[in-house]
Amino acid sequence: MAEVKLTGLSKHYGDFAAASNVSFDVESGSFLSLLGPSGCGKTTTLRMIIGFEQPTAGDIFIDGERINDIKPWLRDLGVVFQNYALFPYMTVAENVAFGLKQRGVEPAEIKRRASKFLELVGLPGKEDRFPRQLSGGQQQRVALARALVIEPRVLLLDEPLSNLDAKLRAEMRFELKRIQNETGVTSVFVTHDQEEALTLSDRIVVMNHGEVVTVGKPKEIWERPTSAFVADFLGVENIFAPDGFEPGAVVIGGKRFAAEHDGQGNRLVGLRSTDIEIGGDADAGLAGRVQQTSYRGSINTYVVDVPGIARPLYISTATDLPIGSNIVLKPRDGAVLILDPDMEIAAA
Amino acid sequence: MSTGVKRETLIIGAPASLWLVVLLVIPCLFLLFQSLTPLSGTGLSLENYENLVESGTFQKALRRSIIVSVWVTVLTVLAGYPIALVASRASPRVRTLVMVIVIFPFLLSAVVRAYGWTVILGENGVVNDFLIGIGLIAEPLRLIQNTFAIIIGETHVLLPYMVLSLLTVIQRIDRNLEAAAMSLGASPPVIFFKVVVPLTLPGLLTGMLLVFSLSMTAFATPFLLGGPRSPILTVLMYQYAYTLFDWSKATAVAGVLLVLGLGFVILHRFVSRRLMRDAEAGR
Ligand SMILES: Nc1ncnc2c1ncn2[C@@H]1O[C@H](COP(=O)(O)OP(=O)(O)OP(=O)(O)O)[C@@H](O)[C@H]1O
Ligand SMILES: [Mg+2]
Repeated sequence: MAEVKLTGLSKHYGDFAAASNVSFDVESGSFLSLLGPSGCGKTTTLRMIIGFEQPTAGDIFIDGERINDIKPWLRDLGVVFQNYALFPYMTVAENVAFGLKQRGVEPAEIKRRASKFLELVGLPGKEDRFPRQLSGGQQQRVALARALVIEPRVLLLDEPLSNLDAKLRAEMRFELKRIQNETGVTSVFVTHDQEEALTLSDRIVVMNHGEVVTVGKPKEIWERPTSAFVADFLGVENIFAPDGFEPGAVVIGGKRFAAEHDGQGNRLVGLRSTDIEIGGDADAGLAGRVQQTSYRGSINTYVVDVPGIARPLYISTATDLPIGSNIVLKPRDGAVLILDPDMEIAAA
Repeated sequence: MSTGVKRETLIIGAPASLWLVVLLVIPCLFLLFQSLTPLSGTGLSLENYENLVESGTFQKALRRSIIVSVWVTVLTVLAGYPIALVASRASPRVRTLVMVIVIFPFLLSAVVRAYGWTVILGENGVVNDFLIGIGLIAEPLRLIQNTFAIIIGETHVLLPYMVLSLLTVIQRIDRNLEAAAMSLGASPPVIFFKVVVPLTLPGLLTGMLLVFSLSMTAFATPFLLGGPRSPILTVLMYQYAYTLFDWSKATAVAGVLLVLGLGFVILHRFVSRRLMRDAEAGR
């Protein structure tokens, strides 16, 4: 178990910054996710920690020791890849034993530890299989056992669940969490899936264009995204410019709604489709007209045109709303998100 | 697919097949027939082969052929891996440069290549001049017209086969496997022997078979660089046929080479098919 600290870590390819001034801490024993869209520099950051990539600036510390110049094979890190990367010509047992052999562990001890970790990942008795004889989920469990058996200082995972189908992915998510809890290994997990990040992490680092956009606990990031990019990435459907701000309130479509903000202008507001109430006092709410519906079972999503707002609003509700019906809507109390404008909003 | 050859295939393949039969299969069969015909008398017998196998010259040439081929195989492996690794991992420009240098000997005639080696290895060649120049030796070394020269020359010619065989498999390696090994504590040499070599085994084996068999059956380079006193099998056959006019022995050597060649082709097909199957199975 160890703590990881990145300070101003950057990687430039020519003029292009794949990662730029990335800084964050991972507490000992905790689980941190690097979350962001494709190409935002998650893998690049991870590869610099592992040592496959030399940073062009910045430092990496593990337990206070600067490891920039330590060879990758001496860093004592466990790595799990999206495509499992098991040695195809070795059995499961040989795969798991690989790291221990490099460390000169006795054969009897290797055997003991390998079966202990295969048990931990839920694959006892599969020692003599070859990787090709296992399912994707099982292969990823072997990869986990192989990375954990060396008792790494930090476990690094690059989209380890992305190759699995949806059902298996959900199952492996819980497994991963259980295994991390049982071993207590400090983990850095790369993903572009917000749900994975939210359910697994103690903390989340959201990245975009090679930079860290925000760092926080899943609950904080989910409930109070601070920027338009983060809100959009977490699936906040309605992001738009309000009419203006007043002390303790925001003006939308000519109506005031309570919202906490620091008084700075040029902010955007965000509203989850599920955070909009329908009905109530017409004076306090916004009048709108239903344009489109999409049926999703118990809860349907409607596209509602609201005069005074440039974009139609998305609303999710269990109420049945025919196309063309006029409704009154208003944000739930405290649900209006005030967002830094770090993203272009597409025109309506 | 397995229901035999399609009619169209037969029609398209017919002219080329006819060509091969007339110019290759018939002469080969004729040659085999001749080698089985004893000088004295009629009928078929192994007399020519018996005479040949008993002759010391043949035994020496056979041994020399094998020694040369083993050395050439080993040397092309030793030189081929680093070259193929550099070519597969370098920037596109460096890769092109490496490949041009490797393929270049292909484009030269054997005579030009042999002349090149004479310039380098001859009595007044670059190597001897240098060694005498720095005072390491007083008299020039005999580096040409011997087995050593054949090994050097053949390694030069056959290296591209090894590099290309290795390159195809090296390019298919999943780099994450090397990354995984490295994170588990394997230093680059360990990664080479425990990850790269096992994953490139099919290419290595085909390359070795190819180089060994081509080296066993090569003629021009051994003839030009080896000289008459250290013939390998092919050169010995030439000497029997055109210097000594001993056709019975010449055809017998040819028969031996033919059988060896066929053997290598069959072995090669067998090995590569097996390796392919294993590779597909994910071995
Ligand atoms: N060797 C390289 N040379 C040039 N550019 C590179 C190199 N490696 C990565 N990049 C670029 O750096 C950026 C970040 O890449 P990275 O692999 O870190 O993204 P990622 O966040 O892991 O994305 P994904 O979710 O698709 O895996 C990308 O735009 C990529 O094209
Ligand atoms: Mg990536």
